[in-house]
Amino acid sequence: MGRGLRLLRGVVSTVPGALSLAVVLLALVVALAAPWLDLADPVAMGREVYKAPSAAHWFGTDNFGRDVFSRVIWGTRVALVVAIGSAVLSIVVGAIIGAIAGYFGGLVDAALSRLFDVFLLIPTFFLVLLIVALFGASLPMTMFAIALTTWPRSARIMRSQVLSLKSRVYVQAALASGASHRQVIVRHVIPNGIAPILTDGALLMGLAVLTEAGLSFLGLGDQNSVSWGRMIFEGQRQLRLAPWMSIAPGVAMLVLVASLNLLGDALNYAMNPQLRTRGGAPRRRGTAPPPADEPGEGHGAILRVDNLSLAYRVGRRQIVAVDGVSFSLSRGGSLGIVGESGCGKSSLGSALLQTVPNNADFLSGTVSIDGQTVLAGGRPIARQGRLRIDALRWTHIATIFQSAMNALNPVATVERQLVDAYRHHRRGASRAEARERAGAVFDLIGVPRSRLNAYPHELSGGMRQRAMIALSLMLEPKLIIADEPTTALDMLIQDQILGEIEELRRRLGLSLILVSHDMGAVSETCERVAVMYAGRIVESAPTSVIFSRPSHPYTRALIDALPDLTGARRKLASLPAVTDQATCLDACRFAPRCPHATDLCRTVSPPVVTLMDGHDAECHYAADFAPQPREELVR
Amino acid sequence: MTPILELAALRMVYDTGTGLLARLAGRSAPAVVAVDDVNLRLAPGSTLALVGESGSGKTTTGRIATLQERPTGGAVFYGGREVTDLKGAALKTYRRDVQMIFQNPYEALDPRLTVGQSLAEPLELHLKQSAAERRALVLATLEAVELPPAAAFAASYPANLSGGQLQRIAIARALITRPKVVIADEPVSMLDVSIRSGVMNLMLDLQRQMGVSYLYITHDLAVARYMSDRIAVMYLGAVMEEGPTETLVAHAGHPYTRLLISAVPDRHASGRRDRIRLKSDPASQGKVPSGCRFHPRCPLSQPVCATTPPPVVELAPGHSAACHFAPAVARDGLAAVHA
Amino acid sequence: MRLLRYVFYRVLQIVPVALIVVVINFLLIHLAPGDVSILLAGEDANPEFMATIRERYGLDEPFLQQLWSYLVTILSGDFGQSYRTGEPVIGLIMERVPATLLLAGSSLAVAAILGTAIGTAIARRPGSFLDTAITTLSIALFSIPVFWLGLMLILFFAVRLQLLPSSGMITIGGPRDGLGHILDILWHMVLPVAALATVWLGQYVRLARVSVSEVLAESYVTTGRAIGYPERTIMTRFGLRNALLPLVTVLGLELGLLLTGAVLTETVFAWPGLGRLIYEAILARDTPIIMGAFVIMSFTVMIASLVTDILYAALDPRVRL
Ligand SMILES: Nc1ncnc2c1ncn2[C@@H]1O[C@H](COP(=O)(O)OP(=O)(O)O)[C@@H](O)[C@H]1O
Ligand code: SF4
Ligand code: SF4
Ligand SMILES: [Mg+2]
Repeated sequence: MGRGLRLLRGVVSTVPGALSLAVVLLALVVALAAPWLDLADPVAMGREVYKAPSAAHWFGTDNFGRDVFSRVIWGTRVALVVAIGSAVLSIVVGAIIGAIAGYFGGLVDAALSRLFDVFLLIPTFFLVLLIVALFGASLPMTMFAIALTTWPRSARIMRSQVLSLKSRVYVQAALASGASHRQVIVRHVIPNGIAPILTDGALLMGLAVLTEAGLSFLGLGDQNSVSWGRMIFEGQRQLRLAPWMSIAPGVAMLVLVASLNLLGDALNYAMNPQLRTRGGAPRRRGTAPPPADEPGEGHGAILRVDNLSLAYRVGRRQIVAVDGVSFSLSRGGSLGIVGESGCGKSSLGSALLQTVPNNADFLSGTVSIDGQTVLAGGRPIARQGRLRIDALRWTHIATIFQSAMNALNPVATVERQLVDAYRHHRRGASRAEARERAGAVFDLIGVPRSRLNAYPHELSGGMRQRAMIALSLMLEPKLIIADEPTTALDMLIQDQILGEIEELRRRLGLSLILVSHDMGAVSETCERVAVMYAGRIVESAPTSVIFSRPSHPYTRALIDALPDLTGARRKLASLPAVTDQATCLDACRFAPRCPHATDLCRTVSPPVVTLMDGHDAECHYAADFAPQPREELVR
Repeated sequence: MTPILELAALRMVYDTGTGLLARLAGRSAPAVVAVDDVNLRLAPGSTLALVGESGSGKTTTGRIATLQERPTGGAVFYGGREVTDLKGAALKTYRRDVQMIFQNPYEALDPRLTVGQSLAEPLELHLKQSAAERRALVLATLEAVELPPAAAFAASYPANLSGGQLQRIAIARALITRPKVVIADEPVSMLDVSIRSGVMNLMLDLQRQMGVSYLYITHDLAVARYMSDRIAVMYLGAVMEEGPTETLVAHAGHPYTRLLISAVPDRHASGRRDRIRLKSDPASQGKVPSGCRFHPRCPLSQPVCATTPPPVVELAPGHSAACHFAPAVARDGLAAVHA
Repeated sequence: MRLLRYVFYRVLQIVPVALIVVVINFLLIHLAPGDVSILLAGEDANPEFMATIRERYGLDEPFLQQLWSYLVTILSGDFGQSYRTGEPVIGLIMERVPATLLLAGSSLAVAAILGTAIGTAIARRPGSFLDTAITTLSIALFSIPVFWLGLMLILFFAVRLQLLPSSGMITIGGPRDGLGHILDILWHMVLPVAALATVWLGQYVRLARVSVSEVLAESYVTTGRAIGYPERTIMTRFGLRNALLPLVTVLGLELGLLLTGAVLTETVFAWPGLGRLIYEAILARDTPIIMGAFVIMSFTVMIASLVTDILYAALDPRVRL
């Protein structure tokens, strides 16, 4: 069970996790060992009543002269029996019924989930109370009543797990290859779905301990057992005389329940480590003052990037996602950035806008937008405590994100979001002006103004992407970065939107960076193409040049991997499916997959070769490949 | 030659399960016609590509072909025998012979099992073999899908593999029982372009070696051309055009096919095409338009299109299109009607 | 319009739930050991009263008929009489509800507002030391048995420091109207509200922390930052606005737990609310009151969750059943 072990390691790797696990284990040991420990009889009455804590009676004695310490220890037993008993009962029943409801769906599911909902709405403590009041107070009855009210909770979790699991491809595939429902449930569904229910088990146990204590406190506890709740119940009346009678069991209960809850929390985080550090506000980074020698607004290239490097910290590892990237984009120009997923395209885009996640560090780089430096030496430029990029965002540089699905705020109408953005930057603009601008932008991209009132979820994928485009145009930026704007869309819509972006760019004189994994998508929209591989730009050239004389083997593979509709059917080029990307530092990164790799490639990192003005490639043999027509290189 | 797989007058209607309460509250969703009178034949050893955008009913058709779902109407024939209502042992045998490859490689394998265990699963279900025989077959299949060293891959867990590798393993799992037919539902659309070609080449190679037939589902006409012998174009649940791949690509008789063709960028010579502006985004399946179901988006739509469903016109032997103006479109493309 | 339809639909959904609660009650009475009429009328009831009870609940009729009579009786608001006083249960309960609502409502308000503020604040730095420390602390807080916390508060503030009153809602012989009366009640509320709110504070800090940081990881938040909104705007317009949605639902769903806490707290502080009534009923084995309280509590939670769901629907345009 490698997974179990990994989970355990995840739990003990945090202080609260390790501590709570230790406490729970200790409680278990103590509860099991209670009869063999050298303890005073927890129920034997003595003459030493109301004794304050002392060496003889660590936690003092109660109104009958019983030893409180011994009673607390024996109480652990009761607490754990109730906790484990009701949690196990609840989980077993809940998991089975939840799995049935989720797996078979339909009427069975409808009826059962209604039932779960009912239990969600019933104040369960009162139901437990009623049951115990009617059927008599005893430990088994308490456990039974608790399980009776909590199994729907386990069932709900199992059901939603199963619902998501059963559409998983591997479950579908097992069914399609002839496995029976029973085989699939036993082999794939339950083992993969049980984890969250077990995590919840820790919380259930805590809840059970509290419920039992609450019942005992109301006088509905088992008369024959030493439970913490009963001790507090009895201690309440002696609060002034012997406060220790109620302090000790309460602390014990607090410690156990808190440990159970913390353990559940730690288990949850161990299963989903990214949950702990996700989100958050952007952290402050060390800034630099603006350099003296910058062209200033309206001068020079619209975007200049020099030696930009960005790395992510993941645990103790460092992933260099962007590695010494340099390029510039002329005013009104368009650049396509192409590469496979994970090569660092999106990281590059977010680095330009400085919207990188908190675990990202700029290692180096200078970026200037419209003649104004926003990043120098890997430090954001700030003046009088204000980041310079802030003043340029959306008015000079705007972006269209990869997933239009989530890129718009779901709780505001499209118009509201357009208007807000406009008024944020155009201080003093009235709401009516902003509305008019929003309408004008919608006219511009050819979407009826009536769609302005829609919420994002009411729009189709293509429309949502157009709304995002409208948002990006609100403040007439000079530069737009579009990160895979059409990747999730159907062919026809994809083509339409690319066409619309291209048309807008020409009409408005925008500069554009279009990020894609598809050479085809950028071929018609961009004047230049830069090919990225493993964080570096390995080739860049005007579009027609890169298609006619690709000089880096990776570029060639990208182009020759595309099927098309014209010309003879020829075999497509393909790259081997290698796993190991890690090569020695001084090597060509592409060498493990390159069909032309030599020993030189595996030991010396290739230089940037300039083939002609504006055409660079990072390959030892670029000059040899460049003159060869494309087809000849395909094996 | 009898087709290995035939779908006849297939129809699939989903009742969207509007409850009583919802109906009382005045909200009833119409039934969705996912597949509407679809007729397809797959010749042994060949590939039929099913092309269309999302929601056109491609996946549903594929799921019916594997009998994961039973059609509301129509029949499925396998090797000339009707199998629509197969149950029990016969169904199990059918599943051995008709396998499926799914779109999402990242969920294709049970994360708790090693690649070897996942590959052995269909063998355990269908063949009586010793553990050693099974293992040998698993390793041989991994070699066949170009994942050397096979032993290392068999021992690895899915979490450590890339999308391209996972999809190769999914292909291996589908082919390990030596099926006659494989339904491949967009097997490369979630992969990067640079990885796609490798997976497609692999599927073609395996077909050549094993003689398996593919029903290949895709939304990309260029991919369809690369993979198939015949293409069927679907829109909102119905087949718009069907024909031999090269004929269909060169002489498409349906405006929708023409639009799909024009949406594929010419990836080899950069240059600009004139894009046709579509009138609207796809209609929902809930409300199939009257007359020709494509008319709200069709650039050639005429008054007759809104009222009369077009006939299926045979343009050449084995090439037909459902459009009032099919012959004209086949001849003059999208310029046909405006002229 | 969308909202109206939603409300209508949602109200309809309540009906079966309410019925099931009553049926559970009915089944419990019949399954419980002992004679049903004794359970309903009390052990020392005189034979005539017994007879009226048998008559009213149709105890001599077939099972389904009995269920029907029971449903009709309960749904017409008749929960029977208390054994001890002979008063109608519904009146006794309704008399106590305001005090309980006052206690539960004030604690909830304190906990929810403070908790959301703290949770939002630590969500800005997920994984930091402060985040871990406060999250751990808040888990510890909601692990405290509330009645015990009440006792400890009494021990410290009432017994040791003699600062605050330890029981009741008003001072005997104190002012009975005007500002003095209100201040007197507020004075008595301090400790019970502190106990209940402390436990719930933990719950809310945790909930707010989780849902705010989840929202902050969404890409629309990145869009907001790219647009150039200051972090304050991001937090309110994007973060809180979206994170409030799950908080509101949980508020509705966990009301049952809140009432449980309130009842236990009342017991400790002799607060004249429902809890006290239930406690006394348990001691006196006054079954009709316990059953009545269960049904009323269930209905209260149902209505509360209805209200929060409607609130949710109003807040979130995506909700559409
Ligand atoms: N927030 C993050 N934390 C850690 N690693 C990340 C993060 N975002 C991206 N990465 C890693 O950085 C590399 C580049 O990712 P990305 O910029 O998203 O590439 P692309 O857009 O080309 O797909 C990948 O290896 C990816 O796993
Ligand atoms: S340097 Fe060598 S390995 Fe790298 S791309 Fe060029 S030929 Fe291939
Ligand atoms: S029948 Fe009319 S609407 Fe339909 S595809 Fe042909 S031209 Fe277009
Ligand atoms: Mg990306």
